[in-house]
This record gives sequence, C-alpha cells and structure tokens, in this order.
Amino acid sequence: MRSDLSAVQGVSEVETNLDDKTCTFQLEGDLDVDQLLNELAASNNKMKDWSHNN
Amino acid sequence: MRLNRPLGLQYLPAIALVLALWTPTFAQESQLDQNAAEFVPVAAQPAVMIDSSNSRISFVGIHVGDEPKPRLGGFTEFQGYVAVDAATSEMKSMVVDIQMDSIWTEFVDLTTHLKNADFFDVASFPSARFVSTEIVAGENGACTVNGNLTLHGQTAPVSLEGEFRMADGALMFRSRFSLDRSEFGMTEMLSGVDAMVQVELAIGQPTITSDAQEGHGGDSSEAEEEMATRQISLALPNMT
Repeated sequence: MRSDLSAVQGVSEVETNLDDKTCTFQLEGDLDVDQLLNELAASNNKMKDWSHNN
Repeated sequence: MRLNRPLGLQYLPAIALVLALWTPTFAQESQLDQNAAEFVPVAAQPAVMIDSSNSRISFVGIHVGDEPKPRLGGFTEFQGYVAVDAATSEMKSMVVDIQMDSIWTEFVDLTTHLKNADFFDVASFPSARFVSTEIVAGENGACTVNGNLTLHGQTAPVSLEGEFRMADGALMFRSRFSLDRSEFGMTEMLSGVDAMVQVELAIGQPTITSDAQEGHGGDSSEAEEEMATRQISLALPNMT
C-alpha cells in the first residue's frame, strides 16, 4: 500500500494511521483519485475497496 | 702489436655473450605471446543497475483460516543488475541481493516478528540472493526468468514469470510469482500463516496514464499553475 502509493509520480508524504485506519498522502496536480486507485488496484487488489474523502 | 685478422673478429666473444643473454628474453616473450593467445577477453555488455530507487520488491502473506487477512510487505534495501543485449533488446542475466533487515510491513509488530526466528531470522541470514540461470523470452513481452534463490540460508530454484520491455535503452520488468517459504526452511507457524507467499519484483517505476490526468492542456504556465497539492485520505477496509 505505502510502496504502491509512494512509487507513483506526484504522490508524496504517505502516512498510515492504524488507529483510525486511514492512509493520507499529498497528491500533486489534478490526478483523478479514483482512476489512480483503479490503476494501483491492478497490481494490488486490496486497493479496489478503498474509499477516499476527495 | 696489431693482429692481422678480419675486422670484427675481435668482437666475437662479446657478440656471443649478448646472444646468450638475449635468447632467454626472446623465449620469455614467446611464452607471453602464447599466454595472450589463450586469454579469452571478457565481453563488455550493458547492464541495468537496480535498487530501491528504480525498482521494488514486495510480497503479500496471508493467514490460514476463514480470514486470510493479507499482509503487504517488502524490502527497502536491495541491489542488483540485469545484463542486457542492447542489439537484440533481450535480458541476458539477472542478479539481486536483498538486505533482509530492511523488511517492512504496515505493522511495526509484524515487521519485528518477521525478522525473528519464526520467519526470516535476519540475524542468522542477513541477506538473500537471486541469480538467474536461464531467461526464456516469450511472445508480446512475456518472459520467464529461471534461477536460484538463496533465502533463509537455503537455495532453491524459482521461476519468475513476467513481462519485459526494453526501449530507448530503458528496461521494464515485472513479475508476480508464488514462493513456498517451507522450501527455504521457513517452516515455523505454518498453521497460522500460509506457506505460499505472493512476491512481486518490479524493475522500473509505475506511471499513471495520460487518461488519468484530466484538464491538462494549454500553455506551460497553465500547467504549472495546476500543480497544486491536495491531501487525500483513504479509508482502509482490509487493515483489520
């Protein structure tokens, strides 16, 4: 998860909070978050169920 | 008193001495030439150096039972190379060394546990190594890298089936394969953690396609203005 996100150009400051089970990160530009997650889910199917607040 | 004999004869002893000394030197040079003829030069071939700056090694282990609870992990310190044939755009060989103490997971306690003797035992086996023995190219970029993996102090053959692409001198390789940890003597806690571990080796960084970037266009100044940073928060439904 962290490595999947960190490897993406434009993603930085990936932090996992196990208390509230969230993962936050900084995203540059206007990358579409849903499409970003869908592409990452192609290599890590756990990501397909993630939801986001943006 | 002058001796009446042809010119130069008086130098014969000196010439004989020089020849006596020179002949062994000639023989040595001949020996060197012979050795040079037997010396096979090492072919200079290009190689792609890999480490965590351009590649990644990750794995997913699952628990045994009704709740698999997959756990993602990986290694942050590894080095290696892929020797390539630039003329044919083929991989020739691959070597990867992994520093086992660099293992990470999403959970500190799990990372610590994986380092101890129940699993990788990094104190006793601080490194792992993969050395290819054969690379078989398939169609449409498919390829299989066969080789030997030394892990947990034991060596066993593994086969990395994956995709390969090489263009403009740049290499991409990605393989996902299953590893039976019990083949490497990691036989502890098999009743709780599955023996089979899914491993991924990715050489080259993933990129996001242009389709994912909506709204880009216009002149460069507009593009620069669009490089604002947003904070995204993801909910992790499978992290329990």
